[in-house]
Amino acid sequence: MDKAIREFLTREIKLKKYSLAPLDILLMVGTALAGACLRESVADYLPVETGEAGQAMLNQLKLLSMIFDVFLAVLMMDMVTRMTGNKIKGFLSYGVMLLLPVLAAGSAMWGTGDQAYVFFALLSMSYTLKGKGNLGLCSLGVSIFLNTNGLFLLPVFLGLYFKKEVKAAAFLAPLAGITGNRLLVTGILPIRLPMLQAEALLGEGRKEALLSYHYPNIYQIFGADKFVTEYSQAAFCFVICLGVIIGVLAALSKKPLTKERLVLLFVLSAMVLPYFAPFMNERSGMIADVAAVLLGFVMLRKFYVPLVQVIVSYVAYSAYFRGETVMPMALAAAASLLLIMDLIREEA
Amino acid sequence: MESGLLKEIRIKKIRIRVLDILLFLLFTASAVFMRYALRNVVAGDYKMFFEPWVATLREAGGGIKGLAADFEYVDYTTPYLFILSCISICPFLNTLLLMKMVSVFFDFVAAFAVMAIVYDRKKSVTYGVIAYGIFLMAPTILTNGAMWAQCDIIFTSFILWSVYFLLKDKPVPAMAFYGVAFAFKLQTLFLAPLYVILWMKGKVKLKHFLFLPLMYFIGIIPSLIAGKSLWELISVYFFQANGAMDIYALSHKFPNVYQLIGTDTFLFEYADAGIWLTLGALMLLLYTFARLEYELDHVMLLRMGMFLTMTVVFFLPHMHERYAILVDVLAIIYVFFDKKGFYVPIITLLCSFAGYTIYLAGTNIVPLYIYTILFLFLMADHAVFLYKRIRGEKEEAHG
Repeated sequence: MDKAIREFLTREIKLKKYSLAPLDILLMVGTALAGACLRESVADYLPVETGEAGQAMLNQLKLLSMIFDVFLAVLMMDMVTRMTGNKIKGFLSYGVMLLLPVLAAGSAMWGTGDQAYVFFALLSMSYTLKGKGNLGLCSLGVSIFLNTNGLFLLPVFLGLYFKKEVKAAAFLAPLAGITGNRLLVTGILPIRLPMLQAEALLGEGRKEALLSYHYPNIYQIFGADKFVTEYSQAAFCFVICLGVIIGVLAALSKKPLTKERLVLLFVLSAMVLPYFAPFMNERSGMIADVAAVLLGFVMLRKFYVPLVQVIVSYVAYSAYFRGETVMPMALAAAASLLLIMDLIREEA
Repeated sequence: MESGLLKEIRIKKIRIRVLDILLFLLFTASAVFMRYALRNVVAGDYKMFFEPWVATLREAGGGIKGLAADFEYVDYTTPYLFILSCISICPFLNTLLLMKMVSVFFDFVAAFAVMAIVYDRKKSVTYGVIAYGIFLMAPTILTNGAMWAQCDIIFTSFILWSVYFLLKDKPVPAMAFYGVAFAFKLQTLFLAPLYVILWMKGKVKLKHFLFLPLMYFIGIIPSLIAGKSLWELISVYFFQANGAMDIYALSHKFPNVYQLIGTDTFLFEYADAGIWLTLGALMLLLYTFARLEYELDHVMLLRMGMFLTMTVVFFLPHMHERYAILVDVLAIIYVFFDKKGFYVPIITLLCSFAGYTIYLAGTNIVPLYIYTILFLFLMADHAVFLYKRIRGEKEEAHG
């Protein structure tokens, strides 16, 4: 009987193009349930004190974020399966995404709808990895429209442009995205996007302007509360130049632009820019978190990148949730820097 | 002199040298002396829990009669309570010493299991005796019973005998011992995912899992005789799993994920979330180990056992200082299966003992999150090793 049960669990059933084993279905259902319960456990938390209308909006955003969590998991499964040709890895990546603490807390605790822009950023990577860079830029435009953090991936597209993989006209999409976003944020466009409203609510709760709001970047090592105006202006220019350098160096490299290398460049770009950009908040590493998971699955020897990245990101989350950190933020920032250096070494 | 030390005595198929006997005596004497030195230490748990429990058992008459006692709070099952009940009416020595003596006795039961496992692997009594000595001198094993008067070594010793029979491909006694361990402590289930994998790989049968309820039921018979209700006896583990006594911290000085994000906030939210995260992580690991095709050898079995147990205690909330004891003992055995993995027991014991020192000595020199990072490093090392083994890269994975 034991043998029969075991064989039943692992025997693949053909469904048109796909074949699935009952164990695969069990994993998908099980991790979805665990992910849902995980979110339910912490969903009562509100990141900021607000009135009833604000609470209702945050709760709606939480629900929307959870839906995007599922989209992200399915998209990740598709990307991993396609890139590795291994559906077991695909199923595992789906489960990992549903249980990823930064995503679970992002949707169920923060409730700022970040998952939506991260989804379009991942979709942009997916298109690009399929060789459809122009579509990738369009998707990135949507991501940037929802949140300017989507810009963290732009340097890679710059590199692709120099490599003649994408057209110059496609850059109109991110340009439109950032213009639209600025028009919304400044109130020139009279549309009240809930994600931006939630961001504004969080911003009101910040007592002072800091170069980094718990985000484990360079300012956590040198100080986030001094020379805020001066450093922020300088850093803004520095980050733009850094983005251009990443793009140009990626194009100049004689290494073939494989899919794995492209993923690595996406992760590197998503980690480097917020590391130096001013005014980053606790959730600014979400694109890097998700991209790092993809890297971990397509380049298994880099398995520690998502591990460290997610821990460092969650340390930043907990700094906000608790109001203080257990581990010094400088240590988390140093870990992040080590990861960046490791990725640069891999790319060089 | 030299030839005298190397002189062999044959007992059935086993060749024992005089040197082995001398080593055995030296280690045994040292282990006894080390434990004797710690005999007078009174830990907080003894004052707060054990002493009142024994007093309650004594008031109820001790022995089997004592088991009818009504406790305000107790989270032990009948087998250990029966031992305590017998201690309560023992006319010799004091309760603390008697409790410690029981644990020390099981230190040796466990040490013999370690010796047997290593002997079977190495076919050398000398290695077996050295493993026996190292095990008895391991700081967490030494202090758990002899200093703290805890009884974790009891269920651990039965699990070790279970592992011994697993490695000999004898699933019936292996699962029987696992069942006995379960009758003593719920923490036995930390290793349960390994047994599920063993079932998936055809090493044990589903019916063997019936040893768990069977042994548990046999274990509660004395309390049933004493007049306790069946529900009360069965619900001990439900109460324990509920963590009702431990809710004031997400981790009780154990170097796990909560030491990175804080142990004192979101007590209820993170406690629930942590359970789901643990279940989810186990699903992913069990799926991976069950779905892939590979030959599960002894080295992998030990690594898998450590990795799965570490995953459980890393994510589960309310873990206590002593809850990695299963990892500690497997790590000590492991080094005799793969000498290049010498760092495994060193890091494991270092992380594990950190919590002990904070509890027992009240000192915390290195922050616990540093131990958490070390613990995580070790988990990653286990994962890499298993991945390489599964992919057949035995050369790279060593061992």
